[in-house]
Amino acid sequence: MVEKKKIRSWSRLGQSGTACGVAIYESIEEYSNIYVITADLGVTAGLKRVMDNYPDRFINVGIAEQSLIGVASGMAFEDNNVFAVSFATFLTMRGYEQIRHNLGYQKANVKLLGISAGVAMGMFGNTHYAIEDIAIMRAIPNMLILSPADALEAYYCIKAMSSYIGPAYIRLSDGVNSLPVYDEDYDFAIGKAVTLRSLSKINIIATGRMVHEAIAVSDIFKEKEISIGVINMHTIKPIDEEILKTICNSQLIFSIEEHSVIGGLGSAISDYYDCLDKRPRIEKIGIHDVFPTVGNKEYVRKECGLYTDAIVKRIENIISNDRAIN
Amino acid sequence: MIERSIDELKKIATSVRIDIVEMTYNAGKRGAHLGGSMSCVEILVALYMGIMKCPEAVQRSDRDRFILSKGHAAMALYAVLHQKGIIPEYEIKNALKDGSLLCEHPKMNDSYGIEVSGGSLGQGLSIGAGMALALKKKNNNANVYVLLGDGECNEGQVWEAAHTIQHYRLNNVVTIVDKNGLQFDGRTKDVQDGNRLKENWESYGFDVVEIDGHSFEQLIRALSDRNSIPKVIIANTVKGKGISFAENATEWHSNFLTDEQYFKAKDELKKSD
Repeated sequence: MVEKKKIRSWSRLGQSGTACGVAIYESIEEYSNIYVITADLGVTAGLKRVMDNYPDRFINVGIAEQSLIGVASGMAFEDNNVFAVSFATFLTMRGYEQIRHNLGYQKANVKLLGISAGVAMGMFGNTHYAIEDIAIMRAIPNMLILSPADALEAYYCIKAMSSYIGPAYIRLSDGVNSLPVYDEDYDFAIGKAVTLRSLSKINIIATGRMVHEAIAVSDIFKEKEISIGVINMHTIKPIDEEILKTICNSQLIFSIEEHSVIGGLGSAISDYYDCLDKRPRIEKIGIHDVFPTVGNKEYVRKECGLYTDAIVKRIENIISNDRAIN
Repeated sequence: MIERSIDELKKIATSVRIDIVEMTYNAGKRGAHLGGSMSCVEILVALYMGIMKCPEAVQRSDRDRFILSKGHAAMALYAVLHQKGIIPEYEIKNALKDGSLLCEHPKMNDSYGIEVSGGSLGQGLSIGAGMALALKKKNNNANVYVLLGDGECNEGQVWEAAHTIQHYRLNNVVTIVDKNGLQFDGRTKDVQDGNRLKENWESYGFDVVEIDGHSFEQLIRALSDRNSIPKVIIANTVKGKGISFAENATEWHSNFLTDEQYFKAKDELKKSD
């Protein structure tokens, strides 16, 4: 049971700070086969406490992401569970073929921990944005993909991965002082989405940082006496087919993600419904095949329509233009 | 000291080469990577038949590990494991055919003692570094041997791994470069200046030994002599070694054997025995 006070303090640390500074630290204490490896981002990721207290369990290969994946995999082949940590963009893209070869093809027991995914790096610019990472990780067989909504969920993702055997990508979005989705403890299980607002004829499925936005949108519509369900899809692969089946008669489903609409959460949802005889209408809200104009993360999200007011307007427009929905 | 005599190792090397010829011939018109398989035969025989401890027993934690980073030489690995009695005859006969477990590049296989998959160049040394690091952490005295091609050393990841091996002083990983001087597009020194291999490895702080990669005496000595510094053995070899028409011939990186060439190759190898 995680106390409310802890949840508040973890929100200040953010997803990365909580995952690396709290969850990995605890897991290292608990499991003797856990190692953490990074490409020169230990301090940035929040691993300082691990580096100081468990230097034997921390490896730094320098700024060399391709080799990072290889070294992590070699260690994993020796019966270890290895967390490989770097910026989501460099980790998944510079080392992509290495990930495919070692984690996908050979199922190396490596957990990729991509920090600052989406547009969290703000003014650093598009080199540092990870907006295609879900798409490319989804395409690799055997990969598990987790995308926590807030710091508490990031904690649970890491704790779950500490005893999970197999390759995984954990996508950590946002920075420090992240917005909490959960203000109290809840049940987390890999592959099981969380319903945060009662399911209805219109439903939002969101992931990562955008779950917070989805709740805000739903609450605004509630005031307008329009009920919109909210699902937190923290596991993107394998996607929770059970909940998708439950809402297959929705009039409208919105996916929201801080990621390209090509290949991400929205695509994963569409891929599921493509197999059914009758599919619901799906509107994908995300980054529409562009490199966004650079600014701080709030600015970029506004540019991309990834904020509450813009999402509310978009949903209102669709509802008012589609009589079948009303 | 190793159990087998040099003459015995030479006989095994010939059998390995004949296996490689058989597999190449069985691959039909599609052909196979004959050249680079032939160049590393003595290296693999020296390791598997002399130097390494229980390499076939993947379930034993104290076994020495071998990584074929130049994965296109898979036939040499299959043949050595066949001569060692690990890979059965029927698998060799079925190699490189549709659905076979033994494809052009090795796939991780515990039953057959294949530690890791290969085929994408430049990756094996990082995996070896990770294994070596993990072994040191567990106080396991096993060694890791990684075989690279000289052309493969074009890959930047090789040097990323070299950094890590040097930084963590991983003297339990032995790097061997099969320097046959040829790659896909021609001579290694023409594609990228491969003549600086020795200096490059030395600049990374490695103990570099350059030997004749077809001499069992030199291979055994180089593989046996160890000190506290990570080691690289640059093994000068001949691509296509043992078959007159394939030796030092660029087109034999990957090629098919006609009936006539097949019989000629086997004849030459048997006569050399």
